[in-house]
Amino acid sequence: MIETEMSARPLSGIRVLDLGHEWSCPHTARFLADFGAEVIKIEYLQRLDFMRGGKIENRAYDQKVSFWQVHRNKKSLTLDLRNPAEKEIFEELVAIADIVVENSRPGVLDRLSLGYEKLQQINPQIILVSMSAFGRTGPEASYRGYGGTIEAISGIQSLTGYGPDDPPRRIKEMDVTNGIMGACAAITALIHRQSTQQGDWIDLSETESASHGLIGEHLMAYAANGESGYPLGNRHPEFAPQGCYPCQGDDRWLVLTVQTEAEWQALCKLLGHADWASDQRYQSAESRRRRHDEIDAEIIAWTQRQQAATACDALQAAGIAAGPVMTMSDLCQDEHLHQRDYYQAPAQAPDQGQYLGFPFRLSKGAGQMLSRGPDLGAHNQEIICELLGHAETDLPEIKAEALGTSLDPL
Amino acid sequence: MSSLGLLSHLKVLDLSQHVAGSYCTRLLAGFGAKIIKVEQPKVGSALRHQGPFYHNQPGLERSLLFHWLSGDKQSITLNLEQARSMELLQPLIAEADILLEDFAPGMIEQLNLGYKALQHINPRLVMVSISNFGQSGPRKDWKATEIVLYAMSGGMSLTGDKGRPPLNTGTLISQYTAGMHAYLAALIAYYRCQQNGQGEWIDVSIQESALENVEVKLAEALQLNQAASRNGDQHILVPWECCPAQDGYAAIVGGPMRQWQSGAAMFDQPDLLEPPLNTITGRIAHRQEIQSRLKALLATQPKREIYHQGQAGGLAFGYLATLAEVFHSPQHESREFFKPTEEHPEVGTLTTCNAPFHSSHAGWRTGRAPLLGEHNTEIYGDHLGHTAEVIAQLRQEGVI
Repeated sequence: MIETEMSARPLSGIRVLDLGHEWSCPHTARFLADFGAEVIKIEYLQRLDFMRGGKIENRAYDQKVSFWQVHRNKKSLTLDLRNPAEKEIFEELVAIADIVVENSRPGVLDRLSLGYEKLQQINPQIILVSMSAFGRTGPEASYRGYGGTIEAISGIQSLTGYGPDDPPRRIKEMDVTNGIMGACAAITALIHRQSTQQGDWIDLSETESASHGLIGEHLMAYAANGESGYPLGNRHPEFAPQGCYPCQGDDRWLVLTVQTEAEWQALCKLLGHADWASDQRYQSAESRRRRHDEIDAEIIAWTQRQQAATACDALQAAGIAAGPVMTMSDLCQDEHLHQRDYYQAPAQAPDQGQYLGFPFRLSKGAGQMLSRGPDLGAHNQEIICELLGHAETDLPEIKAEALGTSLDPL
Repeated sequence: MSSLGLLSHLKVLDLSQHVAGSYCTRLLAGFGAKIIKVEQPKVGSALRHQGPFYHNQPGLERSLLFHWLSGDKQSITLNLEQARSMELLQPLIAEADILLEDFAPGMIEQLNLGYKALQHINPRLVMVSISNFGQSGPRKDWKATEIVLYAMSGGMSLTGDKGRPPLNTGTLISQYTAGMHAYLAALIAYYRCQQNGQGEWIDVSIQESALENVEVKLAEALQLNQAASRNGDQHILVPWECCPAQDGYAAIVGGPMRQWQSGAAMFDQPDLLEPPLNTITGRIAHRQEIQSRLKALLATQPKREIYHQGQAGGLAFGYLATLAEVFHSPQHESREFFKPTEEHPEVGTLTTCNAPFHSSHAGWRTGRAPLLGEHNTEIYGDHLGHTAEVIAQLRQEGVI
């Protein structure tokens, strides 16, 4: 394992204002927070974040795991940017911030008189990352999009399904893909600023970013060869066999791919089908693709008698790429992840249970799980009074009866 | 806009040969970094052997996966198993800001290119190691393909239908997710190095990286012991799914909730705007009724009309686009999302994606992929100062 000697966290000293809502842009800010930036989530009391759910009673909005995860390591500040006094507080923060991230529809910040030009007047080195469904120019710039819109319209969904004639199926992770790409945008602009002292305004279209980050080769191949891709289910366009096979137990499965002739020979041996190893009809991936159904039936006959874990150990020992289909609960208990100390309890409240770790590790110290997503307005006092030096009378009031959610009308 | 990219001051030595590492360096190259890609003599990067291929004919210079991922990189050949490779590699390591590798864990040390050795040559080096399951742990030596990585990072258990097998995606999502994370890791380490002068070693596990994709479901399992399973595409909110239209599928995404009144008016069915169907809980309670009514209404309409009508009412409708249709999107055309590459000697001009995001200072490069070893003379000769005779000899000995 990589030995860690702690330095300051990579993004310590960077201040981020998170105007994001839903999932993609908040994920961007979460990445920055995990790696040491001070991230202030701006919350709008009349429309609480989607991840806070649709309920107000008993502060249910402070109890959502989705919010605890996607907004972890952040601070919560409630501001109504239409209220001049509270907008002024936001502008004071812009003056001492490095990055602002937002995913409102193009034009919304301008209507609040908080567009890039205004932010740049306040702070010439500010980096504004604007994420939107379709980008800030073009005939559809004002259109709305959730993951379900973007996955369909980008062409990504046309490639996933049980077969060419089956209905399309979703991967559903467009928000995370785009959230990661948003972080790439923020960090790219930060590296550029480090050598030039210039701020930047990033225009990220989530339709473009998801296509770039998932199907670039498919798009290039369509343009070159003129053939639209179609869903292959669990099969591989070249290798065979590849598939998902049932194992002992309820809804337990393993997947495998045979990539070479040597691996095919090894699989035949495991299946107890030594005769196939030398049979001309099964030599080469191309001939096996033609007999895929027949081969699958034999693999199922073998996997059905075994635990997924045992079968995968045997396949891996034989040199074949294979693994169990892991459920969320399998992942929580996974020995490999535990030995790598993947899961993290919040350092500031270790009794609050475990969270996901980090997407990578740096030897000089990387991500840190300090705290779960904050209670609504938990840092109003710290930011408005202590950081900005305002009087307590400037603190926004949080009145339960005036709160609204993103799920209204519920 | 400057012609220099945002990252034009970065030098990267790319020993990786799979999708994740190559997408990371494609992003770096697109934003202007100088990438030297080190490939095995005669055989080349593993990507050169993977489809899809230009005109469906395999060949070292014809993999479109390679073309997509290798634009704007330089290619040199070098046999890392030959002792003499080190004298050629050493000066390139010394001047690099970032080095990527994706050998099986332990292999890089066997090649005498482990982090300790490289740190000795260049203390400021950021070294990124990408592997299927990380550099440590009981499964560090496991082999994997995309379907294995997708299965073992949780996504597959949630994709597909109840009563049918879990379903793989038509993309390389786990590997691409790791590629973006490798890019982030390299750059935040570089950012810190500019402040404290110290390089470092980064461990990217594709599995851990791809767990981000299921962050909410996995957090709910950790915190609430809550199980999640595949359910077709039944979203918790209604309507939120693809419905058959006259010419394909329309994506009927019924949010944001506050726009239901104006958006659903397009269906001309007043009761959709009244209790109980005017609230999200009401629509969830009448899921099947809503779904079957909308299906009947939509089946005879063209998908793009449904899209524009829904959007005009403020709802986030879309339509299922084939790849062919994506190329005719007026939005993509207006923003020039597709660009021609430079002419390549074997396959000519290809069409590639423009930037994943746009800066106000500099654009994205859409150059072509290099031929195998195309830059040997430039790098070994012009840059490192080896004579033509030495280069010929190295080639003859199979070093380059």
